[in-house]
Amino acid sequence: MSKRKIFTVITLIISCLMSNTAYASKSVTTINGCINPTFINVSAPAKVIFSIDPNATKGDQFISPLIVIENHSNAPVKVKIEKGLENFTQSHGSKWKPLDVLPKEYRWDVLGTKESESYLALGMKAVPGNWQKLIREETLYVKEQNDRTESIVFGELNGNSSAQMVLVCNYGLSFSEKKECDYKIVWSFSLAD
Amino acid sequence: MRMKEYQDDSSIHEIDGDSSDKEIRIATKKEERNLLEHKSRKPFLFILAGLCCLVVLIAVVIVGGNSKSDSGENTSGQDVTTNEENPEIRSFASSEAIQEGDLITTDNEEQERLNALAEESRVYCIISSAPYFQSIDGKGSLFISNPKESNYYTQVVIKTDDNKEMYVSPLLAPTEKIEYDYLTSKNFKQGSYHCFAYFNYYASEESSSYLGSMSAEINVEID
Repeated sequence: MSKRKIFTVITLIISCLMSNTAYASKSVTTINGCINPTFINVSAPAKVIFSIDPNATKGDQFISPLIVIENHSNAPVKVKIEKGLENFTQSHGSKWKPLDVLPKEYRWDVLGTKESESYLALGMKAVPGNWQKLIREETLYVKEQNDRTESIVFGELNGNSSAQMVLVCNYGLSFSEKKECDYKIVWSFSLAD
Repeated sequence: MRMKEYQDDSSIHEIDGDSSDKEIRIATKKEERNLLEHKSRKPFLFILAGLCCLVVLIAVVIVGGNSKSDSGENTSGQDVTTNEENPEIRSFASSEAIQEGDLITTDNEEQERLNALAEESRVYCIISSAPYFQSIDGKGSLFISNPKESNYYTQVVIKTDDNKEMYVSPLLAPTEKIEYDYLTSKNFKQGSYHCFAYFNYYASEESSSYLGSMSAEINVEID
């Protein structure tokens, strides 16, 4: 019993000494953090050319390049197209000026020359794969862009990564002459929420 | 016929050589007349001969053309009478254009070509997501860059949500940057503005070489 009492007393003395030491060395350090705004650093092709070969086998008639969007920032970014016709539209200087329509408006494989040379359903979609978050999988058609009142977010890209977009097209197969057309896309980027 | 007559007259002239002067004068006049007639007929004969040749030439061309179309070059599919039952295979000077394989092929080369063209046109959009200005008259931290990897010129226009222009950069060549600059419009009060920085790209220093645009959503702070 006496040993236990002695142990308790010693423990109490040590505790008091320790606490006195802590009070004695008290000081205040101010931590001041300075964080610079993140740079948005992205790249994408300015020119996308597609071709339609009505003589090729089905599936190989429409050829368009992969649109690789690269995020060189360290932070994740959103890839989108803002509202407004001017952000995804046929260029004023386009040599061929087909009417932009939706795919369901025509039976494309039965169109004759007159209709083939008059209508085109051009759209854009994200290729699933490298996206941190794929928000819109459906194709955005030029005609839809005319009517939109909000921006379309395709997805979010991780820092220092890239993802792909492709053009999608519905078209007739009867052309009496070579056609060339130009479309304009204004990509928009922002830091991910 | 006329040549013969001329020869006959000439012989008369010779026979009359020893006759009186009158007879000689008559003979001389006759000869002159014949000579004149002969001279006036000569071009006519040449023209006549030329016309004959022309008619013969036209006839040859027409007959040749008909026989050519009859010999199998009619592609209408109608039953036509042919001069040649077995058209000859024609030989050509060169057969360089001949290739082996099907006419319609899947074209991976075209895909690669278009990918390469898109990649060549790659443009860059680099800016601070939150440019900060200590005052409307002071310089702010923009950190706009046109990196060395870029092949094009760029000009940055910052506009507010409601399309009011706040800043226009000079045209930047590849490798050029703007870290700090003054706002080009002073019609803004202290506050935070949600803006779009439009990067317009050009192949040269001419407006006509415009390639396209990209935009970055940023927040401009003015103290």
